Amino acid sequence: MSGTEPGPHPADPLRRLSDELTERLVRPRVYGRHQWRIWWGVAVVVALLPLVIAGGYQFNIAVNAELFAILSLGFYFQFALAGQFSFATPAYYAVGAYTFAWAAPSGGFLLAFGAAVVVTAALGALTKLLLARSPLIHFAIATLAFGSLVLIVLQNWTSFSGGGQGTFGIPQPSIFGYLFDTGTKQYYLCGTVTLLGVALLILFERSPAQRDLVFVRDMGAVAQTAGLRSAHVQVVAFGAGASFMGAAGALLASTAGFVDLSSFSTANGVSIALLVLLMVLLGGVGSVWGPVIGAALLTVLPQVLARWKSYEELIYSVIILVVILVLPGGITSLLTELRTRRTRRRPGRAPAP
Amino acid sequence: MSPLLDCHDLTVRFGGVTAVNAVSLAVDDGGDVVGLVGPNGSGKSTFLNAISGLVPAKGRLTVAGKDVPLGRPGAIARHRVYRTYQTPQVNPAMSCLENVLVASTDTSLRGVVGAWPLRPGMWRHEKRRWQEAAEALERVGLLDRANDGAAGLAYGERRHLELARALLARPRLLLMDEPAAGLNTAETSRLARLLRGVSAEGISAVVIEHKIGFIEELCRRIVVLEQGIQIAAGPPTEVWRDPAVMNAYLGEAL
Repeated sequence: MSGTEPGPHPADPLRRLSDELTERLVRPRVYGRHQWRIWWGVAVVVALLPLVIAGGYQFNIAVNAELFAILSLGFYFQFALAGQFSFATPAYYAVGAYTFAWAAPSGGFLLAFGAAVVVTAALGALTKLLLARSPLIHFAIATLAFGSLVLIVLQNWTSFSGGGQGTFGIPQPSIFGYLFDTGTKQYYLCGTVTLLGVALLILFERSPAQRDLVFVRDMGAVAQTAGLRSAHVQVVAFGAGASFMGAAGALLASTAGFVDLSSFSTANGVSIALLVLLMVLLGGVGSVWGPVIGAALLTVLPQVLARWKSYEELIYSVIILVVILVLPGGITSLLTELRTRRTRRRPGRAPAP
Repeated sequence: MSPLLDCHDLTVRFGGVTAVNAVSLAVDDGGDVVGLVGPNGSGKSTFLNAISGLVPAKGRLTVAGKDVPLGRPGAIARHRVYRTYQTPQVNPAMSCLENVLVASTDTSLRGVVGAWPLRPGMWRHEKRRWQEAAEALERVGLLDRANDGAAGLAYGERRHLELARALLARPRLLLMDEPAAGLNTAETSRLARLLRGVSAEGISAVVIEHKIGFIEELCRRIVVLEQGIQIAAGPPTEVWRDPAVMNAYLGEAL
């Protein structure tokens, strides 16, 4: 395919603009946003939270919230950015955990964590590659089947997963000899990985990769006729999202010390695939901190609701309906909305018609 | 020398309907502009869609002598053939600049490698890409709107934005589906001037258009389709005198 090279061609349709002119105009809008403030906000909350929580149980909840934040970031990558709705979240979560459990005893924390990330990235990319031609709803159903298949394989591959008994004796996280042996330390470790995940998504947003991905998501075949390699872009993004889920699985395995398949089906009686979707929808698909705030809220909520156990389902249902009817853009869209309203009310401007 | 674009017996069938019936078309390299005219529903857009791989088709398609697989969107873009649409296809969620940038031929460090481990290299390429995209926007007169959302553009501006995207890709051949539709007289003549300049630089084109003046100003040769069949081809003045063409247009008028 020699035609692909942009080599010399007598016709250059573009004239050289003056440097002064381009300096003024050419930076894409995204670089004018202040995404790093979000990062610092999350970092401050993660750093200061231990001042208000106490006891092993509350730290457990906090670690859980962090794991779900990482899962939700992965789902945000696949769903909000790549436009791919998948039910396979529990499968990548589980594969990450079991890969870690398999590699950690001999390879140590960092190597096993890396293995979990790489294996789930490859598995995610493979999923999207196999289903490259399936339209949205078919893709979603196919990932449901794929996810169940992966869990069934793990269930029956007892030499690898321990089958129904699960895998025990997974070493606690330890990096360069430093052992994360308390709830607080493990909380900070998972918090660091969460912050790393948020940073990776912010960097992705501030790069041409998100631009291409969003154009492919929104424009379909038009993107291909504009020269974009749509399938490639989506395979990579889906794999990257899956690798976040793998990272969450690795952290789960190492902080809990054991893995068994029940951890990947439901949490508080809600399917993990749906719970993560709910977190991203509640938080908002329009911003990278949507999944983080959604994960935090929906992990803490069942604890608050424990007092009104009998009304739990009612409250959940009401939240889902309110989000979908009143707040389809999630909590982050509410804040954006408030900000624009404040700007509009600023004196000296003509009132909106 | 073989023509730049050579469509041989291109046929498109939708169920029992033959939308394009064995149409052949050749466009030379170096600024040849061919007009594609015909009554509504004569298969012009379907023909362009077949060339760009958006609809399944039969026949043979080559660019500069190389075979291009049919029915695969984007296959012909690898041969630097790009297109615009009858309804302008811009992403309203993105800025004008971003809408253009996606078509840059500089594909280096545009994926996760550029986003994460190799950011310094990505920045170097990005700055060059911004510069080219700004130049493409300047070319169509939209540089002032570079960072405005594409959603705020008027219809005619969206057409120009699409054209800027195609120009950024450094095309050898442009496929344009009614580029002047919805433009007023001043805008139409400005577009004609722009496209004459593009053709003078050696970029060839296939242009579907209903505006006869626009076609005559731009095209050395036109091809007339009716009900998926080519009924005439040649220089504009000769083609208008062709009885078959008069019939086709008269039939539409009645």
